[in-house]
Amino acid sequence: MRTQVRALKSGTARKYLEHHALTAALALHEEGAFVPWVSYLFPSELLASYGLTPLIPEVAATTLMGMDFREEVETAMNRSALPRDLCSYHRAARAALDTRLLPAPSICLGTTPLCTAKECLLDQLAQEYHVPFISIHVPLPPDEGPARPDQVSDVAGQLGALHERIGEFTGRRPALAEAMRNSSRAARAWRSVDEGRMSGDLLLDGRHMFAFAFLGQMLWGTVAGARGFERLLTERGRADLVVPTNGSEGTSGPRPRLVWLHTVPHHDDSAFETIRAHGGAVVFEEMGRTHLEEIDPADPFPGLARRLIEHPVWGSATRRARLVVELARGARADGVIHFNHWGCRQGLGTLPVLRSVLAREGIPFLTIDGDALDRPGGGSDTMTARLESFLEMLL
Amino acid sequence: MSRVMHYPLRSCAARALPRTFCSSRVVAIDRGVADTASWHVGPLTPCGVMTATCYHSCALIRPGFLARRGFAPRSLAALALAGDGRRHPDGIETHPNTCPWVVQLLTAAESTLTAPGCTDLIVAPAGCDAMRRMGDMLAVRLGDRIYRPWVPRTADEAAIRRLAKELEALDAWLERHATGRTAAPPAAANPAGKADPATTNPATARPDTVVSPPVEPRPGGVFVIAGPLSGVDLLRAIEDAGVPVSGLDSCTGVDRAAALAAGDARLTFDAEAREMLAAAVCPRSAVTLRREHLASRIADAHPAGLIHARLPFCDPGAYDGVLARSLADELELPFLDIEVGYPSEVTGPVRVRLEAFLERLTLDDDLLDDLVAFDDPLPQDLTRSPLPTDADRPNEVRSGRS
Repeated sequence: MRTQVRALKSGTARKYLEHHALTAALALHEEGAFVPWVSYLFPSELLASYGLTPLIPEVAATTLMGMDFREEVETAMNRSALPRDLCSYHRAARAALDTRLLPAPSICLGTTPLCTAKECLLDQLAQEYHVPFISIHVPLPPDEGPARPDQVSDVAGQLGALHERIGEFTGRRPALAEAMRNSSRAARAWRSVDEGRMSGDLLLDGRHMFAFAFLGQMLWGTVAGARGFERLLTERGRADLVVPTNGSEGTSGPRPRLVWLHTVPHHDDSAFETIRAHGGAVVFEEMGRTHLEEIDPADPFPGLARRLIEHPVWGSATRRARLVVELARGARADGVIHFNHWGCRQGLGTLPVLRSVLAREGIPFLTIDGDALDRPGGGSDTMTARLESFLEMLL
Repeated sequence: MSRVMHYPLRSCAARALPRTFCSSRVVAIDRGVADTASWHVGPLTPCGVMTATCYHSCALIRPGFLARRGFAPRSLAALALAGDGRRHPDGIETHPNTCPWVVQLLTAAESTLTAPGCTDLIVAPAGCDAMRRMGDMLAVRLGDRIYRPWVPRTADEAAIRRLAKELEALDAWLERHATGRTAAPPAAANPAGKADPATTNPATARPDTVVSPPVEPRPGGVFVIAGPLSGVDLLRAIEDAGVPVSGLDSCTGVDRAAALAAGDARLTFDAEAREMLAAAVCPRSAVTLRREHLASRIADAHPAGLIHARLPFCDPGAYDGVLARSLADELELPFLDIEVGYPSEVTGPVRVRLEAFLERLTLDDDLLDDLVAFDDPLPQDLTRSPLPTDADRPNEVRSGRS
């Protein structure tokens, strides 16, 4: 109710999406609800086709850790058999399930991107709850150029078969064309915003845009998702996403302009406050560089497959570095920051390559260690000191 | 007949070798730049020409497959264990939260394969995220000299087809690199699928990087589930505490190596894929597959307890620990989860936990056996633990105990 009031009052896309994502998530707790635990990159449209809402462990863990349930989840995490050096998203989601703060899975659906750890988690949950685990094998894209046709065809075939299987499993009738039309509406809006940001016409806060896209992952293919993303097209709709000017009106905007890589510390704003205090802004976020293409509703699987294969963080470290350089150049960024999320091997493993490629390209680069689920103010003094030095160097 | 040649790179003796021996290394030595690896080991063909080496990281690909195109397969772990483990000052700097196995292999590969003139190859299956990224890091330095096949977690027909395609591409890559090089002796002299000739220890007839229990496994002890182990330290510590090792399932364990070494030298890609997926069931494998594999191995070993030794910062190992714990619960076996690095030294805290656990096992047998009522006098033969005790081994030196 509170989120509904806030959404109605503000009229912003962000509040609208929050309200609908939370409402859909709450419905997963109802008696007899069908709960698909899915990988973060799992195409939600396949579930929306059957009126299902995905439970994405990373999103669910983040939401719970931002609520009064944090203490309970943290206590369960400390008791968990999973070691502490594991990704905290996954540990928190697992702990929340163990304490019944999250509903048990009816099915677990994986994708090889972005990490093996999440596949291990979903597979193990499926075993424990005696439900199916089905994973989409997504090949690594080439370092240069688009995904190969044979790769697209392979993944498209898997997606098609899985879509049918979900229908058989749930006994529901599909409405994939409608889900894809909703998805295309959202993608059109998202691309339009992306183009505006790239051209410099729109200055949106990368930290908030990350959160928007993160939550939006639950609603691709739904009417609420389409409407939420379309609200970004109006000034009122994106009012709480713009970068505060802080007296920089009439100048060339905030400086330094930064690109943020990987995830963000969701509940700890200290890094972003430091950036704002120095007059800078995160103008782009790496994880938002997806869902930019509309997908043909009449033949959706190849488009969905291509979207999965060509995700900016999938593929080799060299590919990721190339895309980051392109993004930094396109966004006219003064520097790039990588958030080293605790326990994320696939993200941390690209750092040496990123560091050397960005150095070669003359793009200042900083990595900061942290935990995406840290408490507010959880960022270390070392992190703040490193960030301050970096910002001062850029000014 | 192939022979194994060992010589130190820094040694002047290396210069005395004919140029045809290990062309890349000798060139590097002549240039005075081959100072990054302490030893090079490679097989000689009958004519005395050193063949090119193809290193491999995790035990997921059959070494015999790499030998199909004449390369001498060799585990990267052998390089890692032979080296000093120190990163070159200009070397790749990994994040501190990286699994030590990956860090060690990366350091070894970087220091050896990036030496000027070196033309050796490496196959690094993308087993887990960290290993996949290790491949990415090395690819920047080695270009086309590294191949990173994707190995599926499952072993169903679709997975077999995918791996078969990967293997076909890998074979084409090996063939391309083999062109213009001296081929290793064919199957008769260097049988593909047999133990890695480049690292075989004549005393044990096994590759040096393969770990097996120091004493013949016996039932009634502990079954050890582990990721990669660098040696027998952990197993010896168990034996030293007076408890036998009933079995070992490790990424570097002898059973895995034997399973991967079995098979024909000239299988079709489909058959190769099928064999590899059946042989290389490891912590990253699908849970169903892994569970069946472990349950079967544990059942064969008849242990009285289960130990899971996990590498720090290893994701598949972490989930494997949960699976091992659930198996222990089902089988009503005492369970211990410990963290062991790579190289796998048994540190003080690990030793303390290990001994406490093992004492509990022996206590169970000595005092808590519910077949024996407390008030009944114990028959003489039941007063002794079925497990060996210190008294059984009076002359054995119990080194390293705190």
